[in-house]
Amino acid sequence: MEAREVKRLASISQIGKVTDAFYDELRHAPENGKKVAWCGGYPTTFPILRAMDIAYLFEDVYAATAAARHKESKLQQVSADAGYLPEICSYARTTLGAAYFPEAEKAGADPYYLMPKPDFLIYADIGCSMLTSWSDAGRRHFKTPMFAVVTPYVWTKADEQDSIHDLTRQYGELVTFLEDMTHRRLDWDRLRQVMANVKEAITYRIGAMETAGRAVPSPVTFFDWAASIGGVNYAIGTPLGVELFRNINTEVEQRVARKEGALPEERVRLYWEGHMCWPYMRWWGDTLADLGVNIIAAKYTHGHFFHRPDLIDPAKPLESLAANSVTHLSYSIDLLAEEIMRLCRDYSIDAILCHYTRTCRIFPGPFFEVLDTVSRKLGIPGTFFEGDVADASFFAPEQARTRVEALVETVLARKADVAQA
Amino acid sequence: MQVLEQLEVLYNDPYAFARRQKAVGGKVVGITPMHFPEELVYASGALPVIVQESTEPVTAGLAHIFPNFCALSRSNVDAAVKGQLDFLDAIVISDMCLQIRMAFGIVSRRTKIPCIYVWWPPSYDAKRWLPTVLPRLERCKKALEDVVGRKIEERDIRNSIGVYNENRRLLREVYRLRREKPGVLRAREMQALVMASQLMPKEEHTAILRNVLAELEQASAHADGKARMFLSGHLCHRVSPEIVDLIEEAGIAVVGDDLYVGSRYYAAEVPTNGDPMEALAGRYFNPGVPCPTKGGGEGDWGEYLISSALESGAQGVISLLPRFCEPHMFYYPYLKTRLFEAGIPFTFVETEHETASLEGMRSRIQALVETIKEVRE
Repeated sequence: MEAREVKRLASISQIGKVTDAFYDELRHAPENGKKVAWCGGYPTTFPILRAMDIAYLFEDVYAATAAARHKESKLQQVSADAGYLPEICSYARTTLGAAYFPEAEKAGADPYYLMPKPDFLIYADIGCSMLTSWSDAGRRHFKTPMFAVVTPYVWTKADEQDSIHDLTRQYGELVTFLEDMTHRRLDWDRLRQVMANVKEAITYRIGAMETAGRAVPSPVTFFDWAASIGGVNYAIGTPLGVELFRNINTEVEQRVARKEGALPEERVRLYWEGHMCWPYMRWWGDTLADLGVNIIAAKYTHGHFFHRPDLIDPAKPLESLAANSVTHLSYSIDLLAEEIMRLCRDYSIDAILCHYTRTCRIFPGPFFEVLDTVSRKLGIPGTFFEGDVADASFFAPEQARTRVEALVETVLARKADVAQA
Repeated sequence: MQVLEQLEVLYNDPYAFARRQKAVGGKVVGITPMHFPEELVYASGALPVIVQESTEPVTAGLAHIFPNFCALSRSNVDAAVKGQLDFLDAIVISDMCLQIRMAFGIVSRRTKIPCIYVWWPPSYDAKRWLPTVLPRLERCKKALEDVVGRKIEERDIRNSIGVYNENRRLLREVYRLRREKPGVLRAREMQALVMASQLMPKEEHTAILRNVLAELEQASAHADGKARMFLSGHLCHRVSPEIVDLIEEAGIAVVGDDLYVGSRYYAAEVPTNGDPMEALAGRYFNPGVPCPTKGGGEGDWGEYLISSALESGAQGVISLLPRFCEPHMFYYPYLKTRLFEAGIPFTFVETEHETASLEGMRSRIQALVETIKEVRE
């Protein structure tokens, strides 16, 4: 079948160049006298790093980018040779592959595999305890100091302020740790300026997603939102980051004004629950477009990456970072289900598609409960398919296609019933 | 030993003592592993029981939890949806691992058992984290008081600490005798003895321990020609008795371990001086055996494993890794490297809830025994 034409956002195309420039700069960071941090988990530590001129490798996104560019298998083979089992998170296995990359193979290797060694490690755990094990494996390998920022889990809504309060303390401790590592004091005015940039960029990002989500047909596909995350990870806190998301927001508003959909025909609007399937993003884009399916919202894109610009006050940077470190992954199943139902209602979602990531437990853990709750309370159907974030071997395209086709048929049959009634 | 044979019933019926407690009108509170201070539950007057992996295949639970979760998680979701945990008056969800947290999040939605959630930081750094931990433990205490309908007094906690410390001390004595007299206790007996400590009233268990110790003092080692082995891993639940039998049948005498249903459970005592709540919280940061759910350089499992194995006189190490256990999987390459550098023969055995075949495991263990024989000769 001919793939239907999808109207990608023109403003997204800038992100590829930003990504390449980021890694190029990172590779040269040591010779430019910059300290290098390898950071796992979540990007809320980055504004502080940026304000202190510390270069960083975001380990999760390094792995995601490797998988999206089909460069992951070599790195995963290196970590397997070191003894890391295939059931371990494929993000971790990919980045550990860069950590263990053999010296003898470096000459002539793809530059993407050649990341500078860290001076220290940082991880921000917003709900995935695996991050401790992953970062600690890196610490043992590199023999460097490590610092953790950990979100106390929000079991009931009443716990949320307590978690934010604790995180504020932790971000303060992170500043002390970084000052010790760099032998420099943090320039708080600079951090406040970085946070002002974060707030402006993220306000555009969230605003664009809300505008697009409420529009029928939606002018953007999920795959553009996924790509836009690069703007957060590689340019957050900079004027460039602000420009990127301002451009995206403008383009979305223009499309909505013209009532322009991203797909030739938007027959079904889905909510994507779970992690991304980076090695098969193009396949998913083409397959769903063929079926007239648009993914309007997702936990990954809509519930993360500085999802609360309203809670950012540049004058209070630590509190702002803390408030943005409590995400969908920090929530109990009950609270998560409430959030998902809110998005389903706000964005006129027809069905939920869950990605059971074979090497990840935090994302798929609540799926059955969420599907059950949303189905009972909103009457929205759902299904799941098996795949993985960064290990292509766990994904069977035809099986996934069959699952989605069945879900689409269910939705269309229901719509037909409603129309007849 | 007859008393130990009686305790082995717990492999198939872990909550036998809990039901007895319920039958006489007592309260029973389940606790998820690994480091929650059970003393607090004991001080409330309820019977604390550590939730266990069932021997039943996971069936109904499959509709609620994915198969890439560990055996303990899947088994407990399965038990819960089958109504097998309904006898519990409450469950303390002690959050040190996302798999357990997620599994018991499902349990909390699929049963009517009141759940008390307690979050723990993944760190040994008490200075940094005690202020976070203490108020959470205080809130847990209050929730337990609501369950049992009475206030937990400071003297109750002090008494509880004393009872637990004595039990742990005696368990360490048994451990010492097993090391000094290889073969004096079968591995399944030793494990049943520790499992019983997690499941039955502590004073009753302490009385059993005294009898066992008296018998062991008189017993002689009978491990001639056997390879002395250290078992490592299984961080939060028991090893299947079939697997520990298989290990011994390969010509092995187990002389030490760092298993959860083993020395990890009773390694550290709680200080008896100072504020008792602070002392209970403090034990989390000084668990005695390094726990790979925590990060940072303060607790190096590799260092500990090598020194403990050598101290126990073991000639080799078997690393028992429950499939999908992330903290153990991430540590494995490091453990492997360190053991190799230390010249300690070892093998790695992956365990699962439903073990399809033991033959692959048997070959690997026999190969290790052969290696040890070659080294000896």
